Amino acid sequence: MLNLLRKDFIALKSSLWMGLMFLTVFSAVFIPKHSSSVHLVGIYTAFATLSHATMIDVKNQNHNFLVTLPISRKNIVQAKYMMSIIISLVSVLASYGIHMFATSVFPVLNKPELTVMDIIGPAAIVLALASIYLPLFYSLSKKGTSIINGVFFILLLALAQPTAMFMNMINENRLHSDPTLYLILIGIILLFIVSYYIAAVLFTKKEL
Amino acid sequence: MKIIISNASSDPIYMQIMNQIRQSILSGELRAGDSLPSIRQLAKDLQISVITTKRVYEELEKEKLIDSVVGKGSFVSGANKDFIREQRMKQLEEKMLDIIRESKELSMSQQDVIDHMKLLFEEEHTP
Amino acid sequence: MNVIEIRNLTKTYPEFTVDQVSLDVKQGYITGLIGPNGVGKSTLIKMMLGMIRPDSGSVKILGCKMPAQEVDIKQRIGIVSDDCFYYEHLTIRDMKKMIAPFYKKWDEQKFNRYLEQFELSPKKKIEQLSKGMKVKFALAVALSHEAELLIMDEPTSGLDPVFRREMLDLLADMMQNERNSIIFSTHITTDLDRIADYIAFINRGKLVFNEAKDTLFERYAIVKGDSELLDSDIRNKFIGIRETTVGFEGLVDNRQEAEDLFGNYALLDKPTLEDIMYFTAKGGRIHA
Repeated sequence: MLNLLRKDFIALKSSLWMGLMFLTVFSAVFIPKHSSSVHLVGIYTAFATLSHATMIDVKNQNHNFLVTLPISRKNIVQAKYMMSIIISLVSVLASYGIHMFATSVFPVLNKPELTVMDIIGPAAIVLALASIYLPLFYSLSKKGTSIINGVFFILLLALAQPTAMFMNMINENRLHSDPTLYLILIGIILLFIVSYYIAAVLFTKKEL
Repeated sequence: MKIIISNASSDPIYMQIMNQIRQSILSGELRAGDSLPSIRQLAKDLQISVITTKRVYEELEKEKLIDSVVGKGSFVSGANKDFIREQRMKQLEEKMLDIIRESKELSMSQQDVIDHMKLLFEEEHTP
Repeated sequence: MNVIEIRNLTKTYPEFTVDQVSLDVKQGYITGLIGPNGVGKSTLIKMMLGMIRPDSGSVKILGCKMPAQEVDIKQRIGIVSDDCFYYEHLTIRDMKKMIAPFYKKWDEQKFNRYLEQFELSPKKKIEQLSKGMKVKFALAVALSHEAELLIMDEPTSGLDPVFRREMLDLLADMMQNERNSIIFSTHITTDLDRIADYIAFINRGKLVFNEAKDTLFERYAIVKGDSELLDSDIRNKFIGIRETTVGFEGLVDNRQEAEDLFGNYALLDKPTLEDIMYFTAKGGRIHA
């Protein structure tokens, strides 16, 4: 398991700059614009990094290599799910850091105060997206992966406005402790776990 | 010990190797107690199948020319030269018997065969 | 003892079928898996490794069942193919860092020695390596984790003759330990003419034979002679026969019978694996 995570870090190491680039580009685009755009920075960066990490695995049909190693296919899928948790947390925390930085250096932007929900919320959205994305990735070929990457990006662009509004609504109406929010969170976690089992079954059956 | 394998030879590889090792032993190049390369080492050196070298050693063992000790490898047998010579004479006799049988079929007389042998001997000696 | 036991392995594709293949690979020997391209060699190997799921049949490797004990099996085997699907953008060193921790018996010193011997620079990226260099790297990895069984899928197809000979030496080195075994699929049979102990021949999805190479060469013979010697009965004795205006050349699988039949009227030659493969794959009469 640890070895598989290390594998992803080694594979991603040379494209670390890409993650940083996503972060800067999205920050530059979103931060000055909208009051709660910090969420979008986190979500976009996380998802871009995740789809980059999956692309690296299929670019040269590397699953054919991974299955020659002494690990089960279930472990391979497990590690990718762990990786998506790490990526979403790191990206969201980084976006939060940038937000703090922006508020202290440019007070003119008049950014709103952020709460814990502003970190958990975007992370949960990323995980929900990953829950749909990863099973597709593990059942599709290289070409299929490129296509769903495109589809997901369009989806993300389309979702930008509703997400921002939703996060705003939560902030303005002070809904942070609303029990339905917690129910949604639990739902997402369940979705993520179910998604993992589906992906593991799909990948175990897949022919390489 | 020197072994040369010819791809042009009609003899199977195992026989070529066997003949050469046997010759080395009979000529005294290999002495009683000398160790032979392991089956796997010989296969590697000659770039041939392990099965082939295994067969060579098994046949040589049957001829009592070599001894194989488990875990220690194979050695030229302590059997003395007289024994080896005796073995070869036995083989030669068998071949001679074959010749006699064949010549009878061709209705050659004893003298005919001896004369013919003489002729071949002389041919062998003249370069 | 057998290091691989395949029983009734079947996989059906629209284009072709691997049909009820049963095959034993013996411990302590090099087994060559031969056959023309596209007859199921790779599919068979992929099924052994669990990359393709068979429709029916079973595979046991080193006494363990596939795919149930897949992880244990893969600790103990080395896999080398003409394309190992490494991460192209990484260097050899990074790739090694990725692979090494997975193996319990990784020998770093051995690995570095092989890199030096194969003249592979750790700083080189995988994408810069030629096909042959990739095979060398895969071989270095396989030999550095003390694999007891080496499974090689067409490893020599991208290699120059010089390294092919070198590789045969490396394989023979591994075979100095009689617990080790190798299975080696190829359509370049000259490599196997030399070092293989057993030959398994796959044609059109079926196993034609799996025999010691030496007995194979003693059993089969190439007969060459004048076409006037042939009539329909005699033609039927051949596995494959090639007739031209200047005579015929054919493969028989009973050398003794051919010797009795043709006596001095035809020439009997030792076949090569290529001869056996060619005449069996073509079958019947070949007109040239």
